[in-house]
Amino acid sequence: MGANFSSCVCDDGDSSSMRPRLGDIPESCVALVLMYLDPPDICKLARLNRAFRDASFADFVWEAKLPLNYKFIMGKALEEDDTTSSVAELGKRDIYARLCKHNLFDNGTKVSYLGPLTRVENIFIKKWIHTFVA
Amino acid sequence: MAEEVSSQMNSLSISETNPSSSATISLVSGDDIVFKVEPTIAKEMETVQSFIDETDGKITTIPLPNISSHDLPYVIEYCEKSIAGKITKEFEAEFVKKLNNEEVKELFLAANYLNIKKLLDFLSQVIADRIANKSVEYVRRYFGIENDFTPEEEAKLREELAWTFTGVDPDDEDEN
Repeated sequence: MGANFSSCVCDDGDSSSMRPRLGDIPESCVALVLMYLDPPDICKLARLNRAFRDASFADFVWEAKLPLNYKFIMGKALEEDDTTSSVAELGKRDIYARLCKHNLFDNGTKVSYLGPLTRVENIFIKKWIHTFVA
Repeated sequence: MAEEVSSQMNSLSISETNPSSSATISLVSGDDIVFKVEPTIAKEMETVQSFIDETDGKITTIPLPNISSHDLPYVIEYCEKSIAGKITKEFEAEFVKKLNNEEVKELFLAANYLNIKKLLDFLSQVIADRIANKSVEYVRRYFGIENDFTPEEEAKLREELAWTFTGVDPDDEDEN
């Protein structure tokens, strides 16, 4: 798919095109890399190509980004949504996306949300949600 | 070339019916260079080890057609350090300093192919560090991949990911 040619454009100018190659990065490997990135980067890189898009849906990529008690919070959020879907049915990325919206709890007396998607705040709010619900 | 190696393998499997446990393992790179390594090194490479196990240790020459003689020494070096329990932050920093982007990528694929979990995890982190906060175009060039989306797929993706783009700076193309 022309990948080898375009890789020669790499700025290090390495003339390695004659070497035996393993070809394109498989989706499973892409997911390993995404695991080490922040949510904004993961979502941005989902636009790279199909392998990146599909890898960006992997549950294990998102698992570590969710607050520890996400099942509890998500359960509450879904009650408010009045939907029939359960936490178990949703992918981890969708759960993360849903938690980024404002969630009203307990007849609207409490609110929680993940994000905005910046590093510091995200960590802060993750902790905050944890303390709040605990 | 592949046939050459496999015929070599067959003759070895016949001649070495009872290999001693200390026999070295020969790893043959895609460009036909032989690297002799200790069996303990081969153990670090799950793909190689399972190949040896499948033949009850009779085969000691393993062809690795996808890995070049340029990359294999790095892999072996990492495995040696790993067995010696000497994988430190300092070693990893030195190790990766020697590698350009293309080499990191090739080693990453080699680690995946050989199934060396530690090296794979380490390089995942290295690549993540190198592509964090870069533009989509930069990362496409980094991996040498092309946009294979149809315009419809791209539009759909944008819609799906709408929740993530608030508060994120627009792409700085060619940012380094």
